[in-house]
Amino acid sequence: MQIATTRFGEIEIADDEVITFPDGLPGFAGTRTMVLIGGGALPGDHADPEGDPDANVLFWMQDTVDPDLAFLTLVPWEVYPDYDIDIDPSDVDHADPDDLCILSIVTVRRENDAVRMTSNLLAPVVIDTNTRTGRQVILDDTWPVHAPLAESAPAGGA
Amino acid sequence: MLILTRRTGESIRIGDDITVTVIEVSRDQLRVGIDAPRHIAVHRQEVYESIQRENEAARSSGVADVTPNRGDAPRAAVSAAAMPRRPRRDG
Repeated sequence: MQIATTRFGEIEIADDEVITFPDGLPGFAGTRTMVLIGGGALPGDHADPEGDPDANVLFWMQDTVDPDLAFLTLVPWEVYPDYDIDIDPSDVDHADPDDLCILSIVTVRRENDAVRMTSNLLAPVVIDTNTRTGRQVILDDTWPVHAPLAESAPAGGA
Repeated sequence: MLILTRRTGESIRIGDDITVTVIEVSRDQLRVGIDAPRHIAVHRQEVYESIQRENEAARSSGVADVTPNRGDAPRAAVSAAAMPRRPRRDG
């Protein structure tokens, strides 16, 4: 199946790549279907120099229906090794913990000439890769909504 | 808005399957227990709103220039089998 995206043009996707969010996400109600698109390493280069250079730390989470709706996400443990969270099994339909893919949504704010990136550690996206069902879980915890990720001046004009 | 008076230990039933029970009352705090089915998400109002706002900010901030293509590699979606798993915790 072909989907249109604002950022990546036309993309061919397969059924086993589509994640259904039955409850949508806070602010984006209704059932949503998304795919993950590899986004590479962080601009600030937190990536392990010994690791696989093609490994993705960032993933775009692209809506398959709305071409313009995409979230930048990251694998939280690559940047926040102490991010130790407990997911309530009832929040994820009692999925096997080994099947879970957990991603943090990244916000990029442009303030004057600087770019500031933060990660939402309080409300991770949790995907059961077995059923390909996703939910954004709001943890009953004190993890920050704006955990610092990277701060930089842009390399050039946009 | 419906306004009800309840004492500690008393409950309010909403619909067929939601029960809100007053657990404890102190000077300016009220502890409530909520029994609701799984598909009813229950959150503190201000926390839910902050996540809603953050999602909206994250959406509009998501520009492709943050993660330029490596070389000319085409963008492709990731299969469920290839999605990153949480590392196992020791102990």
